[in-house]
Amino acid sequence: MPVFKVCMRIIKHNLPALGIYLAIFLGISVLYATNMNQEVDPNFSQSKIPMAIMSQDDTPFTEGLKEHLSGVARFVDLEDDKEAIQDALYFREVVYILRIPQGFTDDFLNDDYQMLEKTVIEDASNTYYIDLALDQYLNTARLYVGIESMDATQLADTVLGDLEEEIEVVVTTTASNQSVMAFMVQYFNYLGYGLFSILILGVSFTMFLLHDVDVKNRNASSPIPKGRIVREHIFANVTFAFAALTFFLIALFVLGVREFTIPMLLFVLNAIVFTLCALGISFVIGTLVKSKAAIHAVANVVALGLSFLSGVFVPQFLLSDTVLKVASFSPVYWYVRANEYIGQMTEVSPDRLVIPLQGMGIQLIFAIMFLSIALVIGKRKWGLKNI
Amino acid sequence: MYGHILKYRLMCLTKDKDNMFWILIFPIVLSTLLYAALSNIGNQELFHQIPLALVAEEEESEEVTRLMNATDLVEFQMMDQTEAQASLENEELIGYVLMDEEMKFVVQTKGMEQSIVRLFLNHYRQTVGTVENIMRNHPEQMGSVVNRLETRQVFTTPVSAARAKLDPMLIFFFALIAMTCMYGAYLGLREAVDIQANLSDLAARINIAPIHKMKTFFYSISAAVIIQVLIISVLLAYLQFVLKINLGDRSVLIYLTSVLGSVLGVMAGAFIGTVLKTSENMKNAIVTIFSLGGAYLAGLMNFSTKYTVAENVPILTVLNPVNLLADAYYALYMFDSLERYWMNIMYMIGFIILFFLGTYMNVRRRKYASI
Repeated sequence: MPVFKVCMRIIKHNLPALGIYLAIFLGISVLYATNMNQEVDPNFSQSKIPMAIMSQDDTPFTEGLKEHLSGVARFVDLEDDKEAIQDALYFREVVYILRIPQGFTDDFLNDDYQMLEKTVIEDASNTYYIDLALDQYLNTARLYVGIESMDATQLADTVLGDLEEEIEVVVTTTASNQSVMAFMVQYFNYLGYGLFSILILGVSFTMFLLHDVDVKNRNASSPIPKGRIVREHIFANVTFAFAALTFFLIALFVLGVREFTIPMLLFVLNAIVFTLCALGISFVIGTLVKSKAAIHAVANVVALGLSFLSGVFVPQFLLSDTVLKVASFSPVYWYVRANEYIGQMTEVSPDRLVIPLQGMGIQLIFAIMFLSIALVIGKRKWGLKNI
Repeated sequence: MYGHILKYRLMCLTKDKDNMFWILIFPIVLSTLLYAALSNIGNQELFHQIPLALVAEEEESEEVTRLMNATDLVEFQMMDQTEAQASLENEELIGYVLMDEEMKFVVQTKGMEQSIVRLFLNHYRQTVGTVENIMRNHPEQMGSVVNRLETRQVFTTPVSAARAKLDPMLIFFFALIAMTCMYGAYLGLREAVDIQANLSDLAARINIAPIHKMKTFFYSISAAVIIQVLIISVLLAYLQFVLKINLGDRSVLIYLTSVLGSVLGVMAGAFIGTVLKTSENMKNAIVTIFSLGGAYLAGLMNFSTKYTVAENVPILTVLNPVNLLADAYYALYMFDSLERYWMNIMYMIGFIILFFLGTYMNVRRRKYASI
């Protein structure tokens, strides 16, 4: 299989260029994998928000307030400097900064209330969350202040005692591990970008070289039939595509995901269908590019562009409707959509399979369409008939 | 002579399609994509009323009415349990409250909205407990307690955080503009290659001409700076007028910073082109790592990277010219005081001087015995 071998040699020669994409992809994946929590926690745990308290009134009552807030907040040490505070807020290292003024407890016990200053991100859910907890502690204390005479310690103890009571929370989904699933969705979404970039580069490199006029003339004079050249070329690209996909799947295994569940199978199936589709697009690009430098430009713009618009980097629910409508004309959108639905699958039932399978079906149609376009352009432009 | 060389260098640089793509088209495409992908990101953290179902046998009971009117944070709908469970599974609701003998909160997953609702329900239950507690010991205070319950005190007052909106999307664009300025390094590199006789045929020809080498170099570098300034102007205009991104109200300073950034980018390229003794491809790769890697550390791909780097490896914020630029834009946007901005500018000027001296030392009086 001389053509096949040549294609493989071209790809091998260009491995450093492909390696950059592999390295970026693996780097990001390792980063996400380290955040993955393999343990399944069946109990409900309250979300905790990064918060800073700057207190000039350290009393048992304000300590009690901090204790109550520790159920909803993770305290961050922050320098009391205007720019440091603005920096931390902007980058969401802390989202709620509370200042307790001097004499707050004494005034409170005398039924006189000083205001607490809060520096927050306006209208954010986090702000309402902390406000709710803060308000409950202080308003509960206020109920006692007018009625019983207590010192700061007694008041804090009484209020904290009252606030211990909790309602029962029933979590219906404990079977699947949300953290692993979230990682898988992210991994397979990123895989879409990594695989797409690598396929465009790899396939375009081989097509660009084999369609060089001199090489084409040389091949035309060889005793290999034209059909076989085309078949071997396609076979080489398909082999390359699936080798790349296998590499990504092995990487997933190495990163610690070793579950062989139905959602996992669906993720892999979706990735296989997407590989075919990306291959089709790469064929079209390969027949259209005119210079080697342009291959890099096209790979970046097409892969990065479609990935951005289709929700590979930013989840689809965060994208605006207009962007999603535009994106629905690209197979990446359907690939990501299928991944997100598979990731949310708490149980496997026929109606939950509809959307992922629909996504895969649309990708297959895209794949056939792109492959046909590539063949038509290839025949016209490069005169495959006459090779 | 200046006009002649300048004209031809401008033509050479603008006809280099590869460079033009990466310096001009790529940032515009990337900014459009970032804008499309991120324009909704600020809304994600905004609070929206939480839809919740209430499942109770007696829908008209006093407790149900009291609970439904207890907060604006939640939007209650009455449902039967089967309907509520189905809505929960279809993710139309984040959960439902079951008013059995004991109140229960049923959810499918954990998250911020679930946590808010749980906190509210806990507080609802706790307040009932507190009132019962007080009533047991001080039944005579009933009126006072009811009065205090009805007039819940607000204890906090918001203080303004910064001079402008804390829009997380901007950090990506600051890094992008900074990266584009640094892409000027490709032009600087091209100029450096084109005046060193051992690196290109064109340079060998130019070196024979009876004109001072530093003059030629200065003329070519000025062509690179002119193009880079034009490119950055196009990008800024595109961000401001087409994508309508508010980069802050200090437009003049933003523009001047970008001009300085362009000079920095071009000089960095010239420095890499003259000081390093390696192939042109390798030098191009170094420029890419220098600008793209720098932009990554300045927050181009992940919003929190810039802060994490500043907190953990502060020296990198000063050694990374892309970050100096991005931080200058950020300081202009965020802070009333310009102290941090000027600090960044001083470091940038320091880098420009360093790159110029490095380039000058390497280019001057270079003679070639044989090429």
